This record gives sequence, structure tokens and C-alpha cells, in this order.
Amino acid sequence: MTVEIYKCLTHGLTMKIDGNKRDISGAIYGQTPQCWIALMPKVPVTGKFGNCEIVKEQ
Amino acid sequence: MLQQILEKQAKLESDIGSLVDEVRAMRQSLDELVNLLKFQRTAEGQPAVQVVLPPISPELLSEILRTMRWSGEVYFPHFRTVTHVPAGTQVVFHFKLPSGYYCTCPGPLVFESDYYNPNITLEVYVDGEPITPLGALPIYPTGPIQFTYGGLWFKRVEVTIVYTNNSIRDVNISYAVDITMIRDFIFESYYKPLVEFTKERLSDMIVLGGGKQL
Repeated sequence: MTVEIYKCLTHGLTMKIDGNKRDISGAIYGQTPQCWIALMPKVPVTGKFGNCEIVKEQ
Repeated sequence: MLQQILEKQAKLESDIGSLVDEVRAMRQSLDELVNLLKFQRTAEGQPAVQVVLPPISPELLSEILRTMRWSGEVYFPHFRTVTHVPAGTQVVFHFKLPSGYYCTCPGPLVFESDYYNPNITLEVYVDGEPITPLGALPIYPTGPIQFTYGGLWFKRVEVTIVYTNNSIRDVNISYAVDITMIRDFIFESYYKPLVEFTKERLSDMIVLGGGKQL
């Protein structure tokens, strides 16, 4: 089973997808994390999302 | 002779009276039985299925969704984050729900801090309604704080968390919760009918017990 990791470079939030197990974690420093919405879908949104920049980590 | 006829007539009338009472009692029992069986009627030729529902709770509904495993329609991520709250500041987070989704997790929310002080407080709002008791909740030095969403477990728009740090130290507060995120059509097509069915069934039972309809 491959593990996928998506990360917001602006806020540091990370979505780890391991099969059916999904885990969002990270540190937030004083801003509303828009990336949390981008990280929620089945395949998280990548690229620019509001102030966030979301990348897929290998 | 007339006396005997009159006595027999009186006895017959008395018997008929008691028979009528018995028929009335039977009719009442039959009505109650029909009420009990109201939801067990099925199409002709099909076997009757008795439906016994456990009380509907957010936990039970989440369990049903977890079991069904609708890929892409329901998500159960574990969410945990650390927030930096500098001394003398207030940090507000609006965790807005993704468009087309509702959140149905009952909690608990767990808050931990690297420094506990009652001058540091937190408030949690669900769609604008507070769930923290008496407004702000001080972070006393007794350890992690844990509470549930209570009656406001169904979240349509957002969860707002307000951290206020009136202490002299910067703090890092962590927040962890298991999320249940469902697509809106699942709510309309499954949740709502199930909750309404349960409400009607409960209402019938209440009426049967002499109470008022829900």
C-alpha cells in the first residue's frame, strides 16, 4: 500500500493518506488554514489555493 | 310467571352488558396491537420483518457510515494541529467545512498546551454557537482539556476556535479530534430519513404510553 503525503507549504498542514486511514497534522501560526479544505477531498487539491501552496511529497 | 320472565330478562341484559364490555376491551387491545405493528406492514406476499431500532446517536450513524465505506463520499481523518499563541494575543481559527460536506463527529476535542495557566483561555463555536461552558474555558494547570460537541455535533458551516493568551508566556496549544466528514447528499438521502423514521417510531411509542406526539 502506497502512502501519499500532501503538504501546505504556507501553513505546514499535512495530509497523510495510508489506504483508508487519513491523518491531518501540522503546526499553524496565526492564520486561518484554508489549506485544510484543499486537503480534505479524496485526492487533495495541489498548487495554489488561496494563500496556500499545496504540494504532493514523494 | 311474569316475575320469572322479568328475572330472566334482567339476567340476559346483565350478560349482554358484560359481553359488550369484553368486546370493548378486546377492541382496545386490538387497536394497541395495530399501533404496535404499524411499521411492520409489508407488501402482500412478502414476509413481515420486525424492525427493532437502537436509539439513533451520532456515534451509531458514524459507525454505519464507517461500515459502508463509501469511498470518496465519507472521510474519517484524524486531525491534530499545534497553534502558536504569542503572549497578549488572540488567535482565531475558522475551520470552514469544504463545500458540499457536513461534519458529524461527536468529538471529543482534546486540547493540550506546553504551558498551562488560567489566563490562557479557549472558546469553541459550532456554526456560531458556543460549546464551551460559560464562554471562555481557562486552561488550568491540571492537564489536557477534553470535551465533546454535545448537542451541536452536526456541523454545517464551520468550527471556530478562539485562543486568548493573557499570560506572560508564548504558548503552543495542540488540538486533536477525529473527524467524520460526509457529503451533503448522504445526509439528505440517508441520515434525514433514518432520523425521521426513528422520530416517528418513538413518537408512536410515546403516544401508546399516554404521552404526546413528538
